Amino acid sequence: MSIKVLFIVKEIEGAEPLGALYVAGCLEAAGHECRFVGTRGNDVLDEVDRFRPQVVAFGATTGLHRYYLGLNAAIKERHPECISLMGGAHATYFPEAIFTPGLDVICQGEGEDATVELADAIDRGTDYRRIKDLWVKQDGRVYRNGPRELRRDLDAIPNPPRRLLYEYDDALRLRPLKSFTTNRGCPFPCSYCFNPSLVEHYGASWKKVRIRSPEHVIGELVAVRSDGPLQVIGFRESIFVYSTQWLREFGDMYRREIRLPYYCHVRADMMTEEMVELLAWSGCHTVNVGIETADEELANGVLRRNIKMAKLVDGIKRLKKAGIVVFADNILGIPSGTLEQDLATLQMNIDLDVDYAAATLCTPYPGTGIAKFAVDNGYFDGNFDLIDDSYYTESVIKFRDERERRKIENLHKLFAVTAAIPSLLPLTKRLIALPPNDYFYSIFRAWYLICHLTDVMPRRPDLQTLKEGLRSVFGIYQGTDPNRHPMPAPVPLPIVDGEAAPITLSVRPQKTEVAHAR
Amino acid sequence: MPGDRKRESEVRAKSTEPEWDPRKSAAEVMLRGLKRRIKAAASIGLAIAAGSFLSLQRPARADSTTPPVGETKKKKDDKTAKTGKDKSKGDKDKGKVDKEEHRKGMPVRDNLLE
Repeated sequence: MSIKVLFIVKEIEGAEPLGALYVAGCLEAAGHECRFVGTRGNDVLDEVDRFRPQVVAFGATTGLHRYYLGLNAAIKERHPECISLMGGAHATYFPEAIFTPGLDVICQGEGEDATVELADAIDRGTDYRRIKDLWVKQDGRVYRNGPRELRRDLDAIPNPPRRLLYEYDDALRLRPLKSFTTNRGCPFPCSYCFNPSLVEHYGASWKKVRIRSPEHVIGELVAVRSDGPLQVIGFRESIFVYSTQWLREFGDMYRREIRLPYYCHVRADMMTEEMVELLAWSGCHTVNVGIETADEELANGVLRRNIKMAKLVDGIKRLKKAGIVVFADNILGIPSGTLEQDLATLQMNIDLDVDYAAATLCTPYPGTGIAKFAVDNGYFDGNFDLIDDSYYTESVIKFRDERERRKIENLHKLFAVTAAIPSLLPLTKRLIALPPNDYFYSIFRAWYLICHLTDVMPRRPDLQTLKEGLRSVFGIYQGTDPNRHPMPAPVPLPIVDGEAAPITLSVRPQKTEVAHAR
Repeated sequence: MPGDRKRESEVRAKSTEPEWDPRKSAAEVMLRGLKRRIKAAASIGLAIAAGSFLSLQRPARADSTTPPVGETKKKKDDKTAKTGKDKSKGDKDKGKVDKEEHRKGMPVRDNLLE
C-alpha cells in the first residue's frame, strides 16, 4: 500500500526545488508515489483531478505563501478529502499559517522524516496528530508538536529524484545549470537569514554543520551528468566550505570525475590563502560572497554578522587575485541605516572591483532577528502580509521620509551597473531622486542578464535562453498562470500542545490572536 | 591538491587525458574586467530601448490590476480581495507585456538572487 503525493512548484522552470525533491526521495524510498507539477501554463486543479493524490504538498517563502495558500484553498474546495501540507521557509518561520482555511498540516524545518511518518499514517489510516515537526489542524483544533532530532548523516538521505521534474517537463533535464547542496546548518547568527529561526526550532544542533562526504556529492554529480547535459554546477548551501581538508578531498575527486566550472557561496572573511587556492584549483568559477553593508556597526549590530570588515576585504581581494568571479550580495534599506551608508556600500563594491554587485532591499521576514528589530524600533508595523514575493521592487521598511525611500529603492535598481562602471556614480546619485520608472527596472534586468550569462554562470550560447532573457528585459512574458486565487483570511483556532516544548518564534503578526487549550 | 600538482601533471602527461587547469591568469582576469565594463555599457543601451518600449505600453495597460510604479502592495492586495481573483498576469494572453512580472521576475530562470 502507498499513497500519492502531488508537489506543486511555482516557477518550476527556475532553480530546482531541492527541499521538496529531498522529501520526495524519502517518500519514494518508503514506497509512496510522488509527482511534481509546475504552475505556469498548467492548470493545477486539472492535475489534481487526474492524479487524485491523497496529499498535496508545497513549500513557500514569505510573500509566495499567499499564492500557494490561495491555490490550496481552491484545491480543497474541489477535493476536500485531499490533505494539504505546507513546508519551506514560511512554514518554519510562521507556523500560524496553519490557521488559513484549507491548510491541514504545516511542517517546520527539514521535512524528510516527518513527511514520511505522515504519509505512512495516512496510508494506515491511523492518527497523525502527534508527529514531531508538524502542526496538524483537525476537528477545529491545531495540534502543535515539537522538533525532532536532526539527521546527522546526510549521506544516508536519498539523493533528490530529479527525474520527477523531468517527467513533468523534459526541458528541465536539458538545463545547462543544475543545483546541489553539500551541507546543512550554519553557525552564524545573521539577523536577516532564516538559519537563526532553525536554531530556534532545533536548538543549537542546527549550528553544528552537517556535511556530506565528498564521495557522496561526487556520486550525485556523476549520476546527474549521466541524465542530461551539464555545463555549470551551482552549490546552493549557505556556506560551501568550512574545512580545507574536505575541500582538498572534494577537489581531488571533482578534478578527476567532473571537470566543470562551479558556483558556490562562501564567507569571505573565512577565506585563507590555502582555501582560495583550493577553490580555484578545484574548479570554482564564481563565488557568492555577502558584503551586505560597508558599515561595520550596522553589520555587527542590526545584521549580527560577527564579522571584521578588514578580514572580509582581504578575503575578497584573495578571491579576485585567484581569478575567481566574485558575485557580491548587498542589502540596501537596512532598518536604522541611511542612504549615505548604502552609497558607502556601493563605493566598497567599486573599490573591491567585484564582478557583479547584487543588491536586495532589506526584507523583515517573520521569525528573523531583523524583523524583531524593525518592529521593536518602529521601522516596520509587523504586518507580514505586506511582504511581496520579490525583494527587488519596493521596501516595507519605514525610512526617514518618502524622499529617502525613493532614493534607496532607485539605488537598488542602479546599484549593479554603477559598480560595473564607476564613472556613473555622480550621475547615479542624481538619477535616484527621480520617480521610479521602467528604465531603472530595465537596467537592473539587462545588466543582470548579460553578466549572468557571460561572466557569472558562463555557458555555451543557447538561443532559447537568450531569447527568453531579452524578452523579459522588455517585459514580455510567455505562458500564463491560471492558478491565481485569493488567499482566505486566517481563522484562529485553539492550539493543543504536544509533549515537546512549544516553539516560540521572535515576532508574530499583530492581528492573529490565538486561544490556547490543553 | 596544489601541493601535488607536479605529481599530478606527471600522471596526466602519461595518460592521454589533457591537464585541466580551471585557474585564470592575471591577464585573463584583467581582460574580463575590461569586457565587463563594455558589457555593462551595452546593457544600458539595451535598457534604454526596453524602458522606452515599456513606457509606450502604458496606455495599453490601463485596465490592468497592476498598480502604477510606486503604489504600495497594500492597495493591490485590497483590490485582489474585492474582485475575488488576482488577474495581474494569469489571465493575460501568451507573450504579452507584463509590467508586474518585469518588476518582480528575473531575466534568467537559473538566477542566483532567488
